[in-house]
Amino acid sequence: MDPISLLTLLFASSILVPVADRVGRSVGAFNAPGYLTTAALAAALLSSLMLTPGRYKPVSGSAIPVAELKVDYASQLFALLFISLGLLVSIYSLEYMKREEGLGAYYLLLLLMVAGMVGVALANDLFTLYCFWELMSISAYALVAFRREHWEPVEAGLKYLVMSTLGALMALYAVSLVYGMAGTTNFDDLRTMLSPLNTGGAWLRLLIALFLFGWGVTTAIAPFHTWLPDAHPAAPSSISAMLSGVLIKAGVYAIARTIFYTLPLASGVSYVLMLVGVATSTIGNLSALRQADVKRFLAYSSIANIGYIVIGLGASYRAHVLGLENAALVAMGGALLHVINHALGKGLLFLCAGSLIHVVKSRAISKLEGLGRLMPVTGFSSAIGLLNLAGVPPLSGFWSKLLIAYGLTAMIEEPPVAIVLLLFVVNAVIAAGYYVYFTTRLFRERGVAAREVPPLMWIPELALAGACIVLTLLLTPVLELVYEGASSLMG
Amino acid sequence: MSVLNEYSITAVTLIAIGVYCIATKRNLLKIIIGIEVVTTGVNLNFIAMGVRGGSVDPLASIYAAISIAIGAGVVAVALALVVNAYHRYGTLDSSKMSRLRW
Repeated sequence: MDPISLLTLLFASSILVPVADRVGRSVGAFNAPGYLTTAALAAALLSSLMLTPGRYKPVSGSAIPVAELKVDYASQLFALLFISLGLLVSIYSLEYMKREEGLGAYYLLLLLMVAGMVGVALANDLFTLYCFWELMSISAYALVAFRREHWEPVEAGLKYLVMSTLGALMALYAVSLVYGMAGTTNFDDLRTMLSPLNTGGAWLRLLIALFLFGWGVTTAIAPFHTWLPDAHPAAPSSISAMLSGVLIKAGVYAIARTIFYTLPLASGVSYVLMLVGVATSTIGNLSALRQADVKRFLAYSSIANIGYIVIGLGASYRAHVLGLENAALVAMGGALLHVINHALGKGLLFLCAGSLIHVVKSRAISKLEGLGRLMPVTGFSSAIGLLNLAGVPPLSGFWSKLLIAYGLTAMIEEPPVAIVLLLFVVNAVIAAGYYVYFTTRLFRERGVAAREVPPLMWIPELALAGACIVLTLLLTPVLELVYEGASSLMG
Repeated sequence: MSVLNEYSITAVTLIAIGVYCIATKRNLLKIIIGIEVVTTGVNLNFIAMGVRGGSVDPLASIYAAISIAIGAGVVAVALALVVNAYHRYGTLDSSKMSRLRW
């Protein structure tokens, strides 16, 4: 199976979604676009499992080398993650969104967003990456503002659009500079060309800074994180799960692909990454502590988790510069494992939050107390998600943080790294505290009445909770895959 | 080939003007015009980077053309959101919108 057919499948079905909407409405089947989207994503999930590694050119025999796709362990891992969460969100939306207006547009945008993310993961040149990036972002802006009759989504969508577009344009400017220096934007060609060429320290640092800013706005690293706590609560909960679960991970992937794989190493970048990571996780954790709105709480904790992942990337970069290949691999593996953990865990928590909000019609955490007892499946799933992200030992959320910390310990004799390790551990402890506290609040004895949500809503929750547990049970083979992915990202 | 020529300097100037516009203006339409100016600067930079002794590398023209199309898509979504915001508030002043902290 080649990636071109996978993308063709996604695009062809997204063309069919408006048709299904029109036909479905004329026969009274309003959910027809939802079923089509679910079927398309299920087919895409199967084909993404069967991708064959290699490089693919959509247009063969062209004199101008324009676009190229590539499948390796890392891109397949990310594509799989994006499609599987998209599938579960699509199933969830069948019930959750069924009373909304404009379902055709909703499912079309959802499918295009998944297609954009898959394209980001499979692109093998900077400009193709940018095109898919914008496809993903444009769909996300429209989805954040989907409930356009309310003031909050429109404002949050505009804020997200302006910040993220400016970021993407800075990344595009960096792409044009890379093109000017090397005459190509292909990742593999750039690897061989830029290293011996020795781009000169200042130019290389400028490029890395532009890419970090550009992809970093969507990744929500400090100080560009301010759109996220507004956009996630404003979007429908199913879309919050997509944004928080996988969209910001596409940013992590783009940063790793450009800074680690494509550009040569530059000294000092690792400290910037670690500093940004520590700042992001500290801001995220401290702000999460004082949130009364459950979706804002989850959004801030997403920022904190992005911080951990960026710390992992920084540790890996530093170890790479120092020549400690083993520690670099462990830190990168930890970051990737945390990407998986957080995608499953936070996707799960936003879906559960959506169910809880659906039942009590309020986003206040105080109103959600005690619901865990009354809604057994949602309660159990949110407990698994919360404990996984808290890093309670047997669950895999613990192991990913441990791997990042282990990567940092390899360079403990450097004072800045030791401080980063200390702050990382403090942050992880704070986060564990508030996750466990939230879990206990969810299961408090309260005199409220509530019923479990319909099966189409709890099945995706249960599937994600199951995935968190399976990930823990199969930790050794999963780690092998993650290390393969990490080594293909580091080259 | 030099990375610095008169076109790329113009491109950087345009980007700077656009970023200034986005950072200081309160009118939503002016912010979107700022985005457009940055897009134009980046597109110009592709052409500037593609100059090969009197002619332009076709690859650079392709990049610029695709980027213009993508920029149009972004601005279309932005304008749609601005129309919704205008219907809701009756103003285009971003400082009048309570939660926007630009």
